[in-house]
Amino acid sequence: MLPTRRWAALAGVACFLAVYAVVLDESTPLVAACGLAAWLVVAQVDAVGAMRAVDRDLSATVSVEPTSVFVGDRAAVTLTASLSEAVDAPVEVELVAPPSVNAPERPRRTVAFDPSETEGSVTCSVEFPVAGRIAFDEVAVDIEGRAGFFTETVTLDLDARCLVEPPAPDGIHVGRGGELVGATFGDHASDQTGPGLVPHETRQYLPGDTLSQVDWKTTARMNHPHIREFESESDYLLSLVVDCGSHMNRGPTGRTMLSYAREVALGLVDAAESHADPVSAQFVGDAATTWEFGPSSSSNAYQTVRRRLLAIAPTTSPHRPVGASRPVAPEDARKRSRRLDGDDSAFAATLRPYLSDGESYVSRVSDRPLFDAVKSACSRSDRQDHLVLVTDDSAKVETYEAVVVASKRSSQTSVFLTPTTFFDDAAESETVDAGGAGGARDADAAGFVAFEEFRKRLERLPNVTAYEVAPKSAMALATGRATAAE
Amino acid sequence: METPVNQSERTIRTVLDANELTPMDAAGVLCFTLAVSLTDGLWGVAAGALVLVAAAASEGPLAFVVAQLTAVSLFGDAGLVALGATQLAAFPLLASAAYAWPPDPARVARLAAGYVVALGVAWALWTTLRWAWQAALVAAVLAAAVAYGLHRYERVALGLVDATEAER
Repeated sequence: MLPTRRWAALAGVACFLAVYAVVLDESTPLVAACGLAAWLVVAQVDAVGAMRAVDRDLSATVSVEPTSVFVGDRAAVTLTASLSEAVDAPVEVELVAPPSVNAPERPRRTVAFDPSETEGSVTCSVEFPVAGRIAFDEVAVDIEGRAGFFTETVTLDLDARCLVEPPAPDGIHVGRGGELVGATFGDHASDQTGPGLVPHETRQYLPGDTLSQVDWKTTARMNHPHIREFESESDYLLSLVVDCGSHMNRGPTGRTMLSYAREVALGLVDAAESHADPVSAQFVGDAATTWEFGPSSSSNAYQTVRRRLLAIAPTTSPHRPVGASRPVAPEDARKRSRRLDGDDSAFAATLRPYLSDGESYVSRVSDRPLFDAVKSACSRSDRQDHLVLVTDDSAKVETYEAVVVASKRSSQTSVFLTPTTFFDDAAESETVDAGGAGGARDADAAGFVAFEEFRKRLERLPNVTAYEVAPKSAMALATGRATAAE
Repeated sequence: METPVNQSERTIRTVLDANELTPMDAAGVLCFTLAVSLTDGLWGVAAGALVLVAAAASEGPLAFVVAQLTAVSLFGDAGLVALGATQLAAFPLLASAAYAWPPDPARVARLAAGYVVALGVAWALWTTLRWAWQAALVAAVLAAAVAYGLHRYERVALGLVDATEAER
């Protein structure tokens, strides 16, 4: 119980009267001082009664909607407070926001009771800048005595929680046709002997072997010259091409296609580092390659690529221009042009010049950034290399042609594709609401089938392995549906 | 009486409008004027007018304090009867400052009981102790002890005292 300024002013007046009585040596001021003191004490008794009544009669609940968000998101927090009986004193119930959230100023998260009110609620929007399980487990109740001489703050315990997840993909599926696969990188045993560190075998000396190859211990033991051979190790150049165009920005905050692509790319860099494989990287934006690095196998190289991977962000434009990704093949153009023969309409006259272009569509994709980046990555390699392309299936022609080039020029090509069908808004809402419309489900299934056909088409190319990269939950849903359909 | 007043627009008019006189103020001013007029004649009427101005101009217990000061000025250290009559006459002014009109009778009764007890204690101290400063000091200590006791009771009743604090 804290006295207010008002109380202090009156207590001061009472003290003044008491001193005045001493100075004048008269009883009247002392009696007046005692009268004021009596008022203050009675007001204190009233305040205690009001505070006890509030403590007994007040109940409060807090609800958070939604109960699970990502870092940076906002949630609506509703505080509802009620008194079983009206209290003749001002009462304020304040939502105590944890330090880790950005809450609005106090008046916007406080329920104020006027003396005749028994119920009130307030809803405020809070932002969660930090991941974790955030608890709204306390409200502060400010009670003021009716006369305004005393205030008190009590707390009520609550149990409202919100799970704030970090903006990172959770449960990544990397597989082929719905089947999970292990790491694509491992020990690069060449099964060939030569200079190296790992002992392979000992054999008898043959003419031409050098003196330094002689294994003296074995020679002494076998009483005949022996040499020790070591397994020669090879290293692959990891050529990483990551598509970070604006179309990779599909999906909810922190779980966009780029987030999944980034996780895969980071894993590949880690694997390359663990085997000391040289690494080169190219990040491809909407219009051109935005960053290029390597090849290098220095310890700084992996860190540099990793740092840049974590820093990349696609532009805000949601989709890649469709026209730029779907050039018409010359054969198709000729077929359509033939259909316009004999048509003298203005429509046909306008359309005809566009269909008369006999140029190969491969040459038309050649100036596309992804194709360009893959071609450039292949041309830099003069040894065994492993080209890894991380992209989505939104620009099938461009991706296919890029992989064709890679399959011809690289020792090994891996393509990691994020299916756009899992990240489109319709699919997303459908995934959230399992009881959604059947039409959305069919569209989702059709999208996945088209994706799988594209992936298989890529895999038919020599030295190419194509993987799907997707959220585990969405992948399980899609494969479950496919199984049910079969 | 308890209407909030915007400090930035504090004028004579706004203060008078905000501090509407209640019947209890009127009763207090009337009783006090009668009580002091009986002993001091016209000076008593003048003191009543002064208290009326104080009641109209302030929302706190200023009228009560002014009444006490004028009583001291007019009849000094009077006898028990005059003092008691003046204090009882001033009580409505204190009650008016404490509660809005119409007041809750139970609360007024509680305040009246506390007031009477306080007057009795003050008079007892004044008459039994030899020096005025002793009476004032004991009265202050008594009031502080009661206030602190209520404070501790409130802390315990609301469960605001933790175990370590209770052990101390």
